[in-house]
Amino acid sequence: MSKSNKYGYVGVDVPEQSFGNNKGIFNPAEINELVADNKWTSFGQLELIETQTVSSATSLIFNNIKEDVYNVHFLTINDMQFSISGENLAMRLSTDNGSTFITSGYQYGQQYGQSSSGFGELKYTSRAYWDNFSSNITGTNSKAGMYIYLYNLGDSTKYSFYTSQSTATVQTSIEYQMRFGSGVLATASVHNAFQLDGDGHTSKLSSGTYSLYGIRYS
Amino acid sequence: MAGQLIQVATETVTSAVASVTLTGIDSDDVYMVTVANVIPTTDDKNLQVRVTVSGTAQTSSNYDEASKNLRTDTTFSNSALTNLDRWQPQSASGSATGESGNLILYLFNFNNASEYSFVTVESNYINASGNLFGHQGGGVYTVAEAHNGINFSLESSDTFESGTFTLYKVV
Repeated sequence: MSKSNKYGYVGVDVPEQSFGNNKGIFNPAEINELVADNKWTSFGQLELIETQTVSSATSLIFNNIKEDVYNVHFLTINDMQFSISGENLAMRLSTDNGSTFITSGYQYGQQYGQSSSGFGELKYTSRAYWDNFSSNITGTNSKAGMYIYLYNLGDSTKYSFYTSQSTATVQTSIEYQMRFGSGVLATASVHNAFQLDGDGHTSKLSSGTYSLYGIRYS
Repeated sequence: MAGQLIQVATETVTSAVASVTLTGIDSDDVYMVTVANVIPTTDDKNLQVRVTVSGTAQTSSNYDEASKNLRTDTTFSNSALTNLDRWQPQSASGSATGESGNLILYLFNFNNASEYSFVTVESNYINASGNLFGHQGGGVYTVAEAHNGINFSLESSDTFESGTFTLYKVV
């Protein structure tokens, strides 16, 4: 508390402001200031946490994901491609800020469909990663776009979940491919980083823009 | 503050129109389109979606798509189509009382002149037989060129009776 003329208060102790606990009468400048300080209550707000761009073969680690602030994360991937054929996009979570990554216990189901070669299901109850978000994306005219929602990463009492949807053209044939699905890592723990790579985890992403957002709903 | 859905264009149909075009894609960001309460004037019409170049809908036969149809009246079905002159996220849409459709599209690589343009599609609607359809999948337009927007129309030159169409940039 401090005495100042702010938020409609004059000559009295001004309440501290925080998300979910705004008190007073606010002018536009004060609202802008609180938004910038992440203290303005706006449910469903989208915050860009980090964008990483890939232009040569690598893997990506997001290790400043603000899991203590956001209980839903939204990852967009545009113009993704692998440096070699046959790779699936894979994600692994970490509990130590990306020093190591969890290598077991991932479950997921994915529905896929291609414009000429059929539809199918992929399902695993014990996998070393979440993968198959999109696969076989390499070479001329083979690219993928997708989005992934991640849930409960920062909640030590809840499992971490995802839902995803992707759109792509597969290598060589340039046949259209769509996928959507969901998964869980059934370990109640704080997950504070994740890695993206091919399922071989040998730095096979070769292009794309990867943007991580936080969505605050509570 | 980075991290917003920025509204780029919007149009609400208040009287019958043959098509709706949303333009303003001018960056390599991901874009999102919402369509709410879309109803054809005539019952049993397919919704058609096309990319635009300088605001003109592209009608060449280079649209491929694959989707899962989640139906309440019978078993789920697959939809896989190549070389169409449009994407078709809703089939045989209904116009009777209570029948309407909604969808969300994410647009990838639209501004990139050297890559194909991609969409993801999540759609639900009640068709002309009164059955609920969910439609989940996406498509690609296999021409490497920049697209500045997206166009919505109905088969057989039907018109929209209603609908709110909005284009957002995800930044």
